[in-house]
Amino acid sequence: MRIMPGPKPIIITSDSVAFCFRLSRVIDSYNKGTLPRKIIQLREEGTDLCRQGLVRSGLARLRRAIISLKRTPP
Amino acid sequence: MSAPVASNAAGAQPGFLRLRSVSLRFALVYGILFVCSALLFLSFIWWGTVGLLEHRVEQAITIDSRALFSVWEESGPSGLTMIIDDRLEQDVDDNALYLLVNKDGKWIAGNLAEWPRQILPNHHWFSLPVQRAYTQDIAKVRAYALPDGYRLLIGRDISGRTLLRKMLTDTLLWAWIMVSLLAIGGGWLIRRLFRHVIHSISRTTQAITHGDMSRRMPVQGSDDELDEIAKTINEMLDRISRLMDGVRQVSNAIAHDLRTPITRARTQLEDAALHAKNEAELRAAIDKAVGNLDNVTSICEALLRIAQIESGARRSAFTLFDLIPALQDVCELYEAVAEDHGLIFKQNLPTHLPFFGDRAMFQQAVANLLDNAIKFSPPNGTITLSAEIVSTARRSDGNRGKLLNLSVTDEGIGMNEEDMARASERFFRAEQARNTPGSGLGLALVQAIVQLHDGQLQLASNSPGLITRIEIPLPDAEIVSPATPPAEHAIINS
Ligand SMILES: Nc1ncnc2c1ncn2[C@@H]1O[C@H](COP(=O)(O)OP(=O)(O)OP(=O)(O)O)[C@@H](O)[C@H]1O
Ligand SMILES: [Mg+2]
Repeated sequence: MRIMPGPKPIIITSDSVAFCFRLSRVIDSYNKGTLPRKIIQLREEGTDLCRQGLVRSGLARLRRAIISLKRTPP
Repeated sequence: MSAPVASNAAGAQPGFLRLRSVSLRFALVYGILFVCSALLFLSFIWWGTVGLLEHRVEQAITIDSRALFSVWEESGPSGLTMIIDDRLEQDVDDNALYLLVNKDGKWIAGNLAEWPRQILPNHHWFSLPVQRAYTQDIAKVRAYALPDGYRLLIGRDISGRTLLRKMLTDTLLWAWIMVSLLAIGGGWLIRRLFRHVIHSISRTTQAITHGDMSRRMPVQGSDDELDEIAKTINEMLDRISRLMDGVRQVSNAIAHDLRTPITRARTQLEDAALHAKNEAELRAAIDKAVGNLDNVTSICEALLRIAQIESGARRSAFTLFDLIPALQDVCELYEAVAEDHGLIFKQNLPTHLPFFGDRAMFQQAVANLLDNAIKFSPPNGTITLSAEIVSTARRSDGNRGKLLNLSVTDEGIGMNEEDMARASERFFRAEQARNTPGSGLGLALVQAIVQLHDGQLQLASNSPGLITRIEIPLPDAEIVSPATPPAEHAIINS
């Protein structure tokens, strides 16, 4: 395994508020209005955390919401 | 550490660290063994934990790459983009890294801002520093070349694992250092223990070499191997000093006992040379001198015999024979002598007594005992010779042993306890025996013969008189009738 000597680390673009909103939009794109309460709550919490700057905690909630959406058939 | 190695004389003070010392070698071997086994053990643990974690990450990436390849084959860049987006959206662990670029290096999909310049799509594993929201982490990545100049990078953020790995590595390293310290301590302890033992042995033996025969090894009383060695060495020293005492005493005695008859012979000859008036007187003096010199010869012969018997060389002449006729031969001789001294001679013998040993020598031993009994008995006493077989307690080999018990009892002057203890020493004669003829070698010869037969000579008081008892273990196969020739006996025994 080589260790890269490059001093400049590569930026991870998914650690951003923009990505939060993108996930939020993904959730919305699943038939809006009929979302279960639990998922709506996770989404709200997630976007709130992202807005407050806690991006990774927000992302974790949004991702959980997406996964449970995919599990429950529409 | 260099100077002590050159220590020359054997008596030189041992240096603090002498490379050629056994104790240091033992300590080193102990330490090295300890450290090496600890190293082996801990690296096994390291490999089983940290190694396994890394292997898991690599496996996950490889499996992921295969899935992505098949998507690429089915639906090209657009399908791959969708799948990558999906993966990123559902990455609850928040550690997946993807990047898809086209042949110009332009970003197509994924969560990395740009293609790291140093990474080539050559399927090697790389460690890549990445910038997260709040931290700078390390990721493990692998790059793949796709058709049409596309390039794909798959990776995992392993900083969580890195922490664990660092922790484990540190712990194991510390454990190893502790073990090494323990090994050094243990080695030092072993060395001290060893040195202590060896030094105490060598101190004692050195003192003895310098002439202090009274020195003995200290016995701790713990009954371990060291005590055993100490006891054995002490026993050996005891025996050596006893032998040395014996030699000293014998040479003194020889000097004294030979001098007396020689001096007497010389005086007689000188006297005769100066004062003899006729040939008859001269002859008488010469005869006396010859008698005295014969005495010297017989003492020398007896001494030589004892020495020869003690060397054990005669054991090869042992045969199986019936002891009773052999004893009767001796008795016949001494019956007459006893009668001359006005003594009653009784015999108390079984009809047969198979015996394994040297016939002539055993007869000599019994003759010496009878000779003493007659010599030290006043008239009208009774002398008894008896022999019997007694069975002893079970022996170590499980057989019930048989013992010949032969004793000569008289009612003479007897001996006190002190004299009995010394009676079988060469040249020993008790105070009361000074005016009887003899040289004090009779019982010494008996003792040597009995010992050659693995037996014991015991003296006991008969009040009045003395009991001399010989105990000799008998061969196991004495079931064989005494008439059986020895050759057959050997065959049955084998
Ligand atoms: N039966 C006995 N009764 C009393 N004292 C004995 C008897 N047998 C041995 N002793 C004592 O033991 C001493 C040693 O005996 P040992 O047979 O060795 O010598 P010795 O008879 O004096 O001389 P040698 O046998 O050489 O002619 C004797 O001098 C005597 O003092
Ligand atoms: Mg004698």
